[in-house]
Amino acid sequence: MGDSLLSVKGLSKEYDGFEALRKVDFSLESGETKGVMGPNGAGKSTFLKLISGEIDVTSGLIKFDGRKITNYSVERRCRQGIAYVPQKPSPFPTLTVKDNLRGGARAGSYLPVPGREVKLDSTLDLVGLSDRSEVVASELPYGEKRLLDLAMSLVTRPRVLLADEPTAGVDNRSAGRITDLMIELTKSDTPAARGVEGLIFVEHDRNVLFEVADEVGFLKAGKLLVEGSPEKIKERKCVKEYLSEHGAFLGYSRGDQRAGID
Amino acid sequence: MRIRVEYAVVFLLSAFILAATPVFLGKFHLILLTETLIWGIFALSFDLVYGYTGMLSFGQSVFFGTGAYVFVYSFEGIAGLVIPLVLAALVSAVLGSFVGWAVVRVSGARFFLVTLVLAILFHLLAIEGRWLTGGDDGLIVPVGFPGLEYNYYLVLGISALTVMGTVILVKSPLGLVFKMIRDSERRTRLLGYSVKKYKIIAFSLSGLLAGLAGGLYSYISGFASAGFFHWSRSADVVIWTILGGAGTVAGPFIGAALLTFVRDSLSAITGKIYPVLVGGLIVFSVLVFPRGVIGMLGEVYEKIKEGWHGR
Ligand SMILES: Nc1ncnc2c1ncn2[C@@H]1O[C@H](COP(=O)(O)OP(=O)(O)OP(=O)(O)O)[C@@H](O)[C@H]1O
Ligand SMILES: [Mg+2]
Repeated sequence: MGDSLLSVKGLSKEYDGFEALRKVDFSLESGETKGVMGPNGAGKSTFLKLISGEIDVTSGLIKFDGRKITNYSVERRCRQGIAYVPQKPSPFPTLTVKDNLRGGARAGSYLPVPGREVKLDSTLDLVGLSDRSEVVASELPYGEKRLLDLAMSLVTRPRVLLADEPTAGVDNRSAGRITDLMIELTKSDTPAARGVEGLIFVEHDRNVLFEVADEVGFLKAGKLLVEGSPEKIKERKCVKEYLSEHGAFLGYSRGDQRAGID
Repeated sequence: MRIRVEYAVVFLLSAFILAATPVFLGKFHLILLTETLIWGIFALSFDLVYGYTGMLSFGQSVFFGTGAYVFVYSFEGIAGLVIPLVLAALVSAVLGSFVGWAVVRVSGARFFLVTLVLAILFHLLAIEGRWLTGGDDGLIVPVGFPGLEYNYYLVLGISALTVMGTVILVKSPLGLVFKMIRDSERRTRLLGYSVKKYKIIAFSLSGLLAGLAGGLYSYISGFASAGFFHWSRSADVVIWTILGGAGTVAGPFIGAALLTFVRDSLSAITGKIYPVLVGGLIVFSVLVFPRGVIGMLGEVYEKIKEGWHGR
């Protein structure tokens, strides 16, 4: 546990007495992609927000790259290499796509970073928004907002990316892009990766979840009930129950895309 | 940095017209126009924190008054005019960073109230501290009579520099961070920025411009009084900026010009009911052009351009 890229121990969060997360232990190794699933209100976003530093822990410990970061501010964690893409699309509405990205590329400094223009262009390419660079973000369709969101966090050069339901409510084309991107992200030899060592993502769509994640955690009522490889976790009783209650899938599915438009 | 050709044309055209204006204007209106330019700089100081950085500050009069008094105390003759003006701007900028440091821990309605209270507090202190400020009677600056046209061109030149400087600022990487904060503090933080730090910088730059305006105003009017700190001056810049178009560099100037001249002509015609008329006009314009005069002009221009190019 000492050498993990990121690890949390006994992580708990209370909102005015309501326990949203209870004593979660979790770790992420370098090169690993972990998915988190669970019913609405299970505490998935709370979990990611705690790691990103957006909200303070009630108790517990967060370690990143051997350092205890539990008390670091959100901006400091970003500069150290933890980037969180929120659940709701959150590009800056009045800025152009390019300016949104530019803001991310400086990651906390207003001084220009050498060579960043090139990186911006290639990142735009990566998410397929090259021809959108002068469009104002509020005018983008939902799926492209999500792609831009992801790109903004990527240009901060994170070592760990936290993505909160990146494909939820997104059209098939964009969801396919996002899924591909997540798959490529932790493979260090692809252009997409750029130093991203680990990915934690929350996902409702089981097809995306099981395709992208090396390991999956199941969160319910604030507790991390089980964790394991997709094959293993599908056989667990509580997960089976949850999956059957949930119908076939929610939102985008890659199988759906193959059978359909393309 | 790219500046649209249209903007450059409008800027040069207005500079040209304004430079030629004294030929056509009488004394009274020349003074009014000089004042209007100063109000424009003052309003721009508010636009920087509100229109660009998203903080509804009601405390701009604090910096305006401070700049005016720094000017009064450091003025030593028309030959060395630049130094007291620079001092007025710099001292207010320093005060701006202190004020910024104090007020950025609150936001929204509380931010508005805290800055308002600050303006009221400074005004009360200025009234009480007669030994320093001369209270409501104020202090006279022995500026002599350099001539109305001299003053006008001086203020026009400084306004042009201020506008260019501000355009460069808002197009710079620093300006981008301001706009990000305006759009979403949360996302700005998530991208690694210390939002507080940048808000303090915005406040400091805003203090710089407001202090410069205060210094200029006490120069052309030849005095400064406790009334310079009055919160209603803070209210003026809010109205001018919103009316002209917040988040634009030209907006504050247009708003200030419009209200100064409308107020002036209405008061000549209708006497005591002019505050009501001005108030009605403001409400009407804000309802009809939510993005200010600049926003409306922009829309009209886009329409014409579309029509011109056909579809
Ligand atoms: N700021 C808050 N104050 C009070 N309660 C909160 C707050 N944020 C979240 N909660 C509650 O904590 C619980 C967990 O919320 P969280 O957003 O982490 O769930 P989630 O698993 O992400 O759900 P979803 O699938 O709907 O996104 C929910 O019951 C929610 O109502
Ligand atoms: Mg959530």
